[in-house]
Amino acid sequence: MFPTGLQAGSGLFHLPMATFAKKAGGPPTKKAESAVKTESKKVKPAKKEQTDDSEPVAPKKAAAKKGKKEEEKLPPPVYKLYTLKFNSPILPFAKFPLTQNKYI
Amino acid sequence: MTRIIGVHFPNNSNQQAQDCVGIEIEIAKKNNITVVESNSHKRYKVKSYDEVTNFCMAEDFDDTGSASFMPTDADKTKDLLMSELFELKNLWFVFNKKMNSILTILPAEVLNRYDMVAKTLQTPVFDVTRYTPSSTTPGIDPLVPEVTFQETFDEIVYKMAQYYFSVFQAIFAKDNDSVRPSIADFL
Repeated sequence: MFPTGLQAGSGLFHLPMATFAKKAGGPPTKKAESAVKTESKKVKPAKKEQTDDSEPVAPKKAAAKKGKKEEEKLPPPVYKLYTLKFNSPILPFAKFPLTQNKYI
Repeated sequence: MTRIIGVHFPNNSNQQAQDCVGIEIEIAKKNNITVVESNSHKRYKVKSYDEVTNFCMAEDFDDTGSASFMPTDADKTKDLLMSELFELKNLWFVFNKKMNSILTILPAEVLNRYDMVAKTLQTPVFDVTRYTPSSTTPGIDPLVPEVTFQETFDEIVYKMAQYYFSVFQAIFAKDNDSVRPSIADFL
């Protein structure tokens, strides 16, 4: 199996600048700080919703929907495979011992 | 060697490689004969193909959509598939019987070819117990990879389809020079 993390558009090249700044060890920029602040602000209301017992079903549904959306957003894994071309359609579990008979 | 897929492009054109569905295959050499075989039900959809290197980028492909009509209960699913398997086995016998009776009217050249091909093909095994144990079976060997009953059912269906596909391809292939004149004469 071939790892496909280096594929363009697979997400590796779309890291936010804040993470680059942190990893590089350099001082975080203002934009990065503001991004972190906004993220923390966004997280807080969600925690409140989870702790609220008045409507236990709705938040769960929302969380489930979010989970589904995240799963849908994830691109399917892409493999690099050597290709053998056949003159005719080929089915799984096919066996070709008759190579002398123009099967392939 | 890397993983290999076998795939058919429409009109054998590399330009139409995108979105073609291929299967994982293995190539081995036995007694100086190249054997190509597939041992997996997995299929892959080609996203891009490089005709220089013969490598393609592909992703998993599954269009069975079994969840829409199959029962959610595992036991009910197994019952339904067992019933379908029984019907499939009956169909196999009936179809072979009819085909044998119909083929007798074809030219001897075609009949000989059918005999030769039918003898070399592996017939599908309909007995589920002869396949890898199901994951639902208790006490299975942990070293044996777990296979669901539905995957076993799919394997039998694929093998049955492959059998007839190979037979008809060998007999009626348009590039089969030895059979084509016989068919033309017969028609």
